[in-house]
Amino acid sequence: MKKLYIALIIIGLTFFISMSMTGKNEKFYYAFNEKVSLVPKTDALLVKYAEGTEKIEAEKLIKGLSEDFKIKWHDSLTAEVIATSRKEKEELLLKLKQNSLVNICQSFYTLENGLDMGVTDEILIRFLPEVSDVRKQELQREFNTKVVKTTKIYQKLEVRKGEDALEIANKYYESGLVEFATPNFLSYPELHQVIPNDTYFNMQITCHNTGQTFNDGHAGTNDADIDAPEAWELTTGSSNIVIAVLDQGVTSNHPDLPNTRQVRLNGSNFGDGDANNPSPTGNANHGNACAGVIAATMNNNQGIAGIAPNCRIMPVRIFNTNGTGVSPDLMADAIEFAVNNGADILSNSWGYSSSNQNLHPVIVTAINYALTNNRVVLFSAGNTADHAASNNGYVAFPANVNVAGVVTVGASDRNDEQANYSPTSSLIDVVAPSHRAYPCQITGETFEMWTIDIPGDAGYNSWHESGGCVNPPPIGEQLPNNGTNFQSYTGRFGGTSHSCPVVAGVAALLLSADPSLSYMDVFNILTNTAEDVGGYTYTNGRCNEMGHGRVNAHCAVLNTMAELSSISGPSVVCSSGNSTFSLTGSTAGLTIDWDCDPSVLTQVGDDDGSSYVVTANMWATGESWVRANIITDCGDAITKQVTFQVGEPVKDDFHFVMLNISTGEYVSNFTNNDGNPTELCPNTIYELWTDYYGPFTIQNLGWNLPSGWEIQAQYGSNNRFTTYLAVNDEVHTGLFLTVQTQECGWGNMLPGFYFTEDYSCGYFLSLAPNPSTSETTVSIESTSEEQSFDEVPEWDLEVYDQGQQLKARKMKIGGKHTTLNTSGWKEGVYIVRANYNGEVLTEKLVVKE
Amino acid sequence: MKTAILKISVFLLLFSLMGAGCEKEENGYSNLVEGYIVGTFICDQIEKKSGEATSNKTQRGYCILLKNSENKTSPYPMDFYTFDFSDNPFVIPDEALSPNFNGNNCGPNFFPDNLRNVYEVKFKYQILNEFDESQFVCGSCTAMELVFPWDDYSQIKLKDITINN
Repeated sequence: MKKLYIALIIIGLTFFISMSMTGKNEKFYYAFNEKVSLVPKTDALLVKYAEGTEKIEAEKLIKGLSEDFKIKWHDSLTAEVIATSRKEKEELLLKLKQNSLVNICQSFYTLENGLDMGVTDEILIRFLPEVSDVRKQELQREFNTKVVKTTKIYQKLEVRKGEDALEIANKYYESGLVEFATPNFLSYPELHQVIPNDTYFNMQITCHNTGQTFNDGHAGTNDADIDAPEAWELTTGSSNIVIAVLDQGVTSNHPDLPNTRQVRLNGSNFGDGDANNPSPTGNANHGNACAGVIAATMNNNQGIAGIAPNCRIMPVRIFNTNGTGVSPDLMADAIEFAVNNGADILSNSWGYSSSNQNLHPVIVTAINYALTNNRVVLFSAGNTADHAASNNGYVAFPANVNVAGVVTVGASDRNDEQANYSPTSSLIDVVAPSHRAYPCQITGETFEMWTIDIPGDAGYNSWHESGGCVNPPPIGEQLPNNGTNFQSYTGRFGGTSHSCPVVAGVAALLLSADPSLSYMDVFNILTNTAEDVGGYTYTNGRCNEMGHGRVNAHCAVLNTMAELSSISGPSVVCSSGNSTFSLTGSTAGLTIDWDCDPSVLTQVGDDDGSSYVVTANMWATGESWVRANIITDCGDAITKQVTFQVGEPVKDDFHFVMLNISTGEYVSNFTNNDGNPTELCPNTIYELWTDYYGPFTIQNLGWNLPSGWEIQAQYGSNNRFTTYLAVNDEVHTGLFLTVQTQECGWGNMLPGFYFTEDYSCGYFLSLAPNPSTSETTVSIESTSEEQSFDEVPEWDLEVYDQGQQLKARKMKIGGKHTTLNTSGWKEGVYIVRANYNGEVLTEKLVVKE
Repeated sequence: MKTAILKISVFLLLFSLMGAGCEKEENGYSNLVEGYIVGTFICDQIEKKSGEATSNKTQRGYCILLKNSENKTSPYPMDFYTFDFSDNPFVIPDEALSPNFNGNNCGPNFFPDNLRNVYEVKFKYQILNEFDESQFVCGSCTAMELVFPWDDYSQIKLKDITINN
């Protein structure tokens, strides 16, 4: 009996301890009165840095601990840090908690359904109406929190450094004094996916690999796919984008690829038979198979979904009925045909049994022609390897051509590893999923990619092949054997033949998102956004097994769209109000961190991600900028910046033309005359044309005139003005100032232009008598009393007859007057020209006998 | 005793040499072997220096599977190939000779099963070295199947050919 008691006590104690431990470790929050469990992520931490910590500094801290840690920024101070293992995560947690730059560091949680729920240092709370302010303050003191925001709906509290906002929120709730109290969760919206209703989509592990078991009993690895459903959330392609499939032809009006989604052209059959019919013959389904992978119709409740299901296919047949490819000259013709008829992308799942890069020069030249015309050209690398037998294979011609921009596509498998037959080579650019191995290489392996088939018994469903390294199924076996039009589909496709159209489909999505991309842009996006999977050693982003990695449609499209985005906002920013800048286009999948030129601008309010509000600092002028630092969900960093002017127009954006309306002479025509003062005459009216070419819209123009000057009239608006300026008899060297009315109000004064007196315009020659019979006196006179002479003017005089012959000359005349003896001169008109202080004065002299 | 041992040694040596002679090649050629023509191909000649394809076709090549060869059950049932037969020595029906090569794998066009034991041949052969081989390339072909591993099979020249039609 005693033993029984002891046993019961031990059992009870064990139960109690385990229950209490469970209770201690369990994390939850109160959604009103419901306890919602939170599951710590095994590898991720939420880190909030201290105010003022620079992102570069923060990243340096993490990367300094391990280059393998990934950082996903939520805002400028908060990030999710992902370790490679639980152990690393725990070690990182200890180290970061001790770092002075870190305010919060704890496990990142998820809901049981996997939704991220990061706990920061903030709590959202709403007190019951009857709770007094005094009681609220008592609680805040007790729980060591401070209010950082109060709205009519909630209060936002901040916990002290090192405190757990989750625990404190729960304590608030358990006080019975609040309606709700939860951490201000950092919860990334779930990335939406488009899962099509096509019958066999769950077999398309290329698009969406969840680790599902598929037709041949194999199961792959979760996410060893191109993330097509995530990409389709962004785009499913555009019918403007046409992909030429150079192959065995495509069935007319296939149930999953109707003719409305094909570009079937006369002359597109380069094989035998009717030149105007690019349909396959016999069991030659390879063209269909490639076309279906690219563009099979999505969401039609049958068959499969193509990767770019809104783009169109241009079938170009380059194989004969007996299965052999056409001659090299016809191959070149076919490539030229696709280019000349508007195909944007050329998908080529064919090649030769040769590693010679110039095997058929005519085909190399045709490929260059396609690239020159900005077409995206893709080739399958060929199935030449047997890694299980230590044979690395070779990249077959033409996939191996030494032409930059051609996308050479190898194959990965259902586990994101190199397919057994895919060659290892420096020529591989990217890989895309396909079947793992041929049955003669690895027992039990077989074709396992799904696509479309020639309707009816022809093609790959039922199976007709025998021999070679293929023969997995018995002849006549059907796969699939049920579903709408099931014989129009097949689950037996593979090789690099499959991988190439996968990448062609992704390229089509990219061009759909941004038709202005060049073939090289597409190449760069495909390679830059490919995932470094498989555990191979990637050096500078590539390895010979996988090239730049397995393509990721979502990351590629997201990157394209992020690059395509731009900052919209005002072209000028004033200190008198707020200016809002925002990122154009979709911001789904993007984390945006804004900043601005702090010497000129001040941020207003919180940065909410999609938009950014600034105001100009008082008296700030000149050019400034706002920048959006974009991190895509794939980790790609893209920066967008916009520049604008702040405060008031700048002088360099003005252009002035000034006309002396008395003489009709242009006296200035300049944008910035800081170094060349304009010479003005006293007592003169000028017509001044002012044009403004900057970002402001100037509605009115004002002038700050020297004393005695006058604006007689001014016309114009919207940056173009005509001003009549009367200059009085005082022309001082000085600065002419303008004032404008524009977006920022009545602007500050700007430097207009320098001016100085034109000494020549005040002097003239006087001849008396004129006409002259024997002698005349030549004098230099001034138009104004103030016009000063040198004390003893010194000048030169020349007289020319009507034949431009020099008649008389006097040099270095001292004084204002000299005489000219005209006796003996022929009657007529003579030109008297004086040179005084570098100015030329002229007058006509009439001589009579 | 010593003489006896010597005699035995000489005998064994001569015997071993005779025996080896039965297996070894004669002037670089094998002894007479038996096999079947199991497929053919016509591909494009390659210019040896540049490695580029010419516009000329090879003569018809013939794939040979030796009797009792382990390769009989392999995906590619052949042991060698040769260009040494004159035009269609067996009067193989045209439908078995077409296409010129396999458009699925850039390999030879193997006969259907019912013709694989029909075209019997006896011959002596010599494996050609790289310099004496005819260079050729087959294609184009689709990239769905494994590319035919031409390097795994030797090009041979023949002599003392006997054809059993």
